[in-house]
Amino acid sequence: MSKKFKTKISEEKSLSNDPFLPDSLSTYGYDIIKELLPNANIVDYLFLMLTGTRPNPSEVILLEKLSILLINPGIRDTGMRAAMNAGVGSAPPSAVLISAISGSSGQYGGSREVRLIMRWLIAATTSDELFNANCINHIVAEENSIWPNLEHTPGFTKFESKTSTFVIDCLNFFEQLDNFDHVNWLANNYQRIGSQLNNGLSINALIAALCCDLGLNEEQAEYLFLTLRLPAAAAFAMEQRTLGWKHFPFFADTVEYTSSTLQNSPPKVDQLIEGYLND
Amino acid sequence: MTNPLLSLNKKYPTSAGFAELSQYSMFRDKNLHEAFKSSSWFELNLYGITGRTFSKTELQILNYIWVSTSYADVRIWPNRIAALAGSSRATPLISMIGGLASCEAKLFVAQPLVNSLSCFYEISAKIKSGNSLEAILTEKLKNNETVFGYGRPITSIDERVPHFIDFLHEHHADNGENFRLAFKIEKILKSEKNIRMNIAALYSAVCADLKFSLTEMNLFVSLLVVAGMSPSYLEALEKPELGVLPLTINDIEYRGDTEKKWFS
Repeated sequence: MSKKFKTKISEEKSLSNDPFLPDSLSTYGYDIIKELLPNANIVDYLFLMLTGTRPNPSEVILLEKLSILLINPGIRDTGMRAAMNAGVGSAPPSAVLISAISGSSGQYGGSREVRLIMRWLIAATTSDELFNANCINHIVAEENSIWPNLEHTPGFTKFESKTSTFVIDCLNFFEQLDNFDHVNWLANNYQRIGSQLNNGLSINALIAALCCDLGLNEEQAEYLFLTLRLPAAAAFAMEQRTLGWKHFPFFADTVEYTSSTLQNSPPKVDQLIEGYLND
Repeated sequence: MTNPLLSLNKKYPTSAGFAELSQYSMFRDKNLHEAFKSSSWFELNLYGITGRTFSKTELQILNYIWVSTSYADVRIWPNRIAALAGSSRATPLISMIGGLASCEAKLFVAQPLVNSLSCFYEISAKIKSGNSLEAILTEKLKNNETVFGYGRPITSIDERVPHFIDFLHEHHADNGENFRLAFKIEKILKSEKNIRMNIAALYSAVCADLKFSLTEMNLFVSLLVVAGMSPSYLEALEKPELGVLPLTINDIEYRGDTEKKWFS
């Protein structure tokens, strides 16, 4: 092979003649057996994997708590619902998680929204002037985007004018946990910005603030969000598979076909079938 | 033992296709831009899957298999996934991929269709070996084996079945050996188990008559329901964000533990 894959992340060494069998494997220079397995915890490793550097003690705590916050968005989340729709039909885990990622990736409640919120939140916390709601849209607008048009202000709930108790309590928890710049800014300004929009703050705004305080860039934050949604997606999918498709709501009473096109009954084929049986 | 990966690491022979950028692109053994000018994408896809070309009638039938299962009802799981992703304003492709992934389910698309095809080949082979269909099915039922493609309650017709029969009859293509066998199987199962065929039996019977391998069948049906996803996704974009079959907290029946302490 004339060109080689380049990486600073993972090194494999082979001591034998078999170039397919590694005898050692390292991550960012840390031997997995000698250094990581005995010394690292999963939060250390997750941060290292995403950023290439080890977290300091404050970052360990922040990522640990952020991970807990990310894992379960609730059964009504679109990613969890996508997972359940795949799981109830007994699709294999790989397929279920692909469906979950699809449902978790969007601009309302999904990973893409976190990226957009980070963009305006960083601008807000570095702005010399008072940052208002009307500053947000031009910061998050993208030209030539494959993403559908934004119909809400990222970080705020479109159809609710107040912030849920759950979001407020989470915000308070992180305010008390440590001195996080972006969390503090959000706590001090969300009501002002929310009342300008007549919208409540969403949990994704807090998640985005935590990602900023963790020093993640937008891309790293999206990956972290999607990765940590997967355990709950798996759990919900397994539960629905176990309960069985007959218990999975089909919305038979809710969905109403609104077209006025007349429908015909299927053709009568009994005579044809008789013919096939008697050939 | 020589590892075959070693030689493939050095040299990777391929006949699947090749692109010489700025020059040409080969699709299997044909020039993509020249040999398929008069072909539909569907024909190209089938050539990619099977390496064979099909007659006009065969293509119409295979096309109708895709058409007649392209349901656009948002309640159907693959469509629902695409629509849910759309409701959270994910991109079209990411949304469709989510819906397509669910088609790996045991209950629909690939698994049941491939299993049904396998069943037809098994039953046909046993008939050719001199066994009667009655004896073959009796043995299967005695061993609690599933006769894939059959399981619809006798009182419920799969609406695709009469349409598909009618289509094949119109195209003078309702005389395939496995196609006719499908009805003989149904007659016995109706009598023994009060069950009838679903469309998987007929789709796989026709594909058996066209000599699809199991893997070819799997590939052929992998996009079977994709057409129904686009309308569902697009309608999701027309509705409010998160507006696809939205759920309130009251739509959830919680049955688990409450107010547990992490440390007791």
